[in-house]
Formats: sequence, structure tokens, C-alpha cells
Amino acid sequence: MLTIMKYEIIRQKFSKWIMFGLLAVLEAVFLITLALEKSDAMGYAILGLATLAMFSFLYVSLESIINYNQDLSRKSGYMVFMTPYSVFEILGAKILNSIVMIVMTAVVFGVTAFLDITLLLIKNHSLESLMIYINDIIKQFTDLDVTPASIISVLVLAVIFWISTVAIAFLALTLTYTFLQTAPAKVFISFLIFIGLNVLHSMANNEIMKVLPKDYFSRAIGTGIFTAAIAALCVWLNGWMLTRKMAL
Amino acid sequence: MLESNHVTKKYRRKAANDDLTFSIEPGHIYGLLGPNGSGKSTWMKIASGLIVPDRGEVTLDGVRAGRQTKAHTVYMATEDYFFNYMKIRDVRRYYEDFFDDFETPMFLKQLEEMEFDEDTKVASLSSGMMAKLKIAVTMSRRARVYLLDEPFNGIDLLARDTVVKTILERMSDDSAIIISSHLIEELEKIVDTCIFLKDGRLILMGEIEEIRQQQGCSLIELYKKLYA
Amino acid sequence: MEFDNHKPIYMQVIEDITRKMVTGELPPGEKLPSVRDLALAYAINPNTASRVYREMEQMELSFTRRGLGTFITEDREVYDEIRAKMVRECLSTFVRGMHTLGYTDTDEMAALLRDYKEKTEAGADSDTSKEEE
Repeated sequence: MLTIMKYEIIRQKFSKWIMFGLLAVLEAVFLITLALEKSDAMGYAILGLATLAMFSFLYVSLESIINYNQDLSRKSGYMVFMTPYSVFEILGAKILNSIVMIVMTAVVFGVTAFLDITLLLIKNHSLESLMIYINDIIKQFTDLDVTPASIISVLVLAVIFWISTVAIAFLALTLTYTFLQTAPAKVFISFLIFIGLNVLHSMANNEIMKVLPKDYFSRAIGTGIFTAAIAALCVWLNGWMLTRKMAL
Repeated sequence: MLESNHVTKKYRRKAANDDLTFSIEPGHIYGLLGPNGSGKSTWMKIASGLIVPDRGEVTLDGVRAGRQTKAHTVYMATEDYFFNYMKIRDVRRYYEDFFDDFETPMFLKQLEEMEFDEDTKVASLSSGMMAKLKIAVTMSRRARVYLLDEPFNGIDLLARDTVVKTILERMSDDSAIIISSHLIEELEKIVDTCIFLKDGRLILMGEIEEIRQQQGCSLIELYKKLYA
Repeated sequence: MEFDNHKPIYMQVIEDITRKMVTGELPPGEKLPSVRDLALAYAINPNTASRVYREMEQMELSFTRRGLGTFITEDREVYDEIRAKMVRECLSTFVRGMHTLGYTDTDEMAALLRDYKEKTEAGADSDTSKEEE
């Protein structure tokens, strides 16, 4: 399974080169303008970094799904699914890889952002009060202290949520390629199915929320377990369809 | 060695494979024949462990076709399936990584014969070159069962001799090669047992030399007789 | 080699080998290629190739020495028999052909044959004299 992940990573290496290349360039510009106190240029650098972060997240999220679509449409799936692993191991590896990529991107951009903000704070003491202000806002809206426990729970939920999103997207693609083999614009149809499935998922989630106690952690655990179960169900359905219905 | 037991697979009510039962023995080259839609590709996909039949099963040495048999089975589909971002060298490394039985010297020898450069990108290959690369990769594995779906498609006349030679060289006493092809002329000499499918059912299986001796007809004539 | 796919291929390979024996390409006792090499040389299925050798051995055209390989028979009588058989086949084709054309008398056929031979040799001579010019 690690070997499959290895090749998923290799497949996605070009985009990473571009992303981190741009990041390096923009970061260099930021540092230089910070040191030279050219605040206008620095503003542009910060804007560039924020935009890059946004697009990178968006792209990395989609990349695994795009690759899976390629596997089904361009038949490179034969190369992957004929390896001596079960369908579930292969799908699992792809989804795991997607998480690894997202986490890695988050870490890289997160660390960079943390460093940059720290540097800004060192240069510019007035930002410290801004950070306290931001923390107050978060506290107000989420009824929550920014404690380690809450941060971890948010991260765990984010990962679970992401796994389920990719699993649902994969399932949507497989459904399209299995049952609508002759339809044009398969990606668009898959997207519609994806939205439909997500709507169902949200509705079910809301029903569950209604019967749970109202504190944050109960709800977090409830959603976490339910979402994880949905993800597992989607992967199982996906694998079943691939081996029974021959989407390839 | 490879047993097909009552394999049945239906697609929207039509039976792609209908109760297919036959045995594949090592040391033989089989021709899986029949018109389009007779179920050849479907059976090959089931035999390779890619899909699961509705009823029945294909077993390799008693093990159901699937995760465990994939390591000893090679299936060469009709479509082009290499990753576009790869160079030929990357394709080699991929197969070396996943399959213990991939024989690199054999692959490199075939590349040389086909005059391929390992630096060439898969995306830039013509359809003819792609077909040859698929053969090179497929036949470089030392598997128990080779399932070749239309291996001569897209291969020009002169290269066909090389492909035939590669297939013949691969034949051994502990492996079986199953070829499905429309180009029956190419199969006449290299296949020793023929398996004819019609509408997913097995209609004839036999040794070709016996058929020639007893009925005095070639594979092509037999094909015409069965499907006209 | 082009095969007639209506007849068993192993028989056609044996015919080719016996032809080579008669023309001298395969002298008595000559080592034959391995089953694998034979299959590759004729581009045929290796099982068919091994059948060729099995049948040849039964027909006493060849013999196998364990570990050394398969060899053409050293028995000159076999060669003579093959040659004689091929000659009979040629004659049979000739006579049948002449019969369909209406010639049944042996002397008539012999005269036509002599005539034909003289003309073709003369033609060959005139060709060579043209080359000299």
C-alpha cells in the first residue's frame, strides 16, 4: 500500500514543485520588503502569499479527485488496479495520500504563516493587540477557548471531514463511470452527484445533531463518528462497484 | 491450473459471460475467439481478478482470482493505460516496484529491438508505439497466466513477427498464455488450443492441429463456420 | 515459411525438413535445433514443434540422444526412401496432369518430355549466348 502512495505522490510532484517554488519566491519578496521596510511592496507580497495559500489548498484538495477521474476516463486505472492489492487497499491508499498532501500543504503554509506573522509582530508591536482581539472574536463565536484540546479536536474533525469529502467525491465519480458510461461531461455529472450526496450527508448529520447533547465535545464526537462511518461506507460502496460493475 | 467454473456475469440483463466452464493448462497457448461482445474481455477481467463474477469463479491453483492471484497474472487490456506523466523509464520502475517477477533484462532487450529510448514520454508515443510498449511490459513479467486482449491491435505487419516471437519465447511448462484477437491469421500458427465464445457461452474448445487433421479446415474457416 | 492452415502444421514442417534432407541441406546425422529453436525458426507453437520431432522419430526420420538433442537419421536407406517417395509424387502429378490433357500413352509422354527438355536447354543456351554479346 505504501508503494501505491509513493506513486500517487510521484504523480503529483509537478504541482508541488510549482506551489513551493512560488511560495519560495513570494516568501523571499516578503522577507526582503520586510527588512527594507517597503510596506507597499510587502503588502503585495502578503496578498500574494494569501492567494497562493488559498489556491494551493483548493488545488491539492482537488488533485486526488482529478487523478482518480483520470484513472477512470483515461484507463490508467488498469495500471493501478492490476497491482497485487485489493481494491480497498488501493482506494484507501489514494484517500490517505490525499490527506497527507493536504496536511503537508497545511503544515508548510501554516509554518510559513506562523513565521511571517511572528516576524511582523517583532517588527510591529501593534499587531500583538490585534492577535488578542482575534482570539476574543473566536471565543465569542465558537463559545470556546483556543485551548490545545479544542485545536486538536478541530484538526481531527477537519481530517475526518476531508476523508469523507474525498470518499464521497470518489464515489460520485465511480457512480458516473459505472452507470452512465456513455454520458458526456462525466465530470460535471459527477459534481452534481457529489453535491447531492453531500446534501444527504448534511441532512443526516443534522438529524443526529438533534438527538445529541448540546455541548461542543459531544457534538464533535458525534459528528466525527458519523462522518467517519459515512466515509467508510462510501469507500466500501466504491470498491464493491469497481469489482462488480467494472467501471474500467 | 486455471479453472473457470460456471462463470456468469450479466450487464443490464444481457449475459456477458454465461456459465463458462473450462480448464486452462500450463504449457499451452490458447486462442480465445469470438465476435465483439461475445464476452472475451469480460472473462479475461474476471480471470485476472479485476472484477468479480455474479456466479461461479475463476481459480488459479485453487485460489480465487483476486488480490493474491494478481501477483501471478498479467492482463493486457485493449486500452492504453500508462500514466501520461511518465517516461518509459518510469514505467519500468513502476513495474519493478510492484512485481517481483518483472524481468528487467527482458524488458530492456525488447526496448532495444523496438528502438525505444527510455527517456521518451508516454504522452508522446504514437498508437503503434504504445501497443508495442504494452507488449514489452506485459511479456517482461514471468507470470503463471498471461491474458492478452487483442495484442496485435495497432502493431504494424513487420512488428508482428517480433511480437509472435516474444510470445513464443515466453511459453513455458508452468505458465499459460491466453490470447484474444481478431487477427486470426496471426493466431493460426502460434495457438494450440482454441476456445470459441458466442453470446457469453462456450461453443467449442479444441486442439487446433486435431481440427486440421480431422476436419481439414483452418482456424479461420472454423470461425466462419461457427459464426456465419 | 507460409503454411496451409487447412492441414496440420506439424506435417508441413516435417515435409519441409524432409525436403531439406533430400536437397542436402540436412545431411545424415546432422543435429536438429532444439524444440524451442525450431518453434522460433518456423514461428509455430512449441507444442507443435515437439510433435514434429515425436512424429519424425516414429517415422524413423530422426533419433534423440538424451541430453544431446535430436539428430537426423544416419540411415541412408531412409534418405533413399524419401527421395524415391518424392520422385513418385512428382511423377504422379505429371501423369495425372497429362491424363487430363488426354495423353495416356507412356511413349507419347516420354517424347513430349524429351522435346521439352531439349527446348528449355536450347533456350538456356541462347540466353547465355545473348549474355556473352
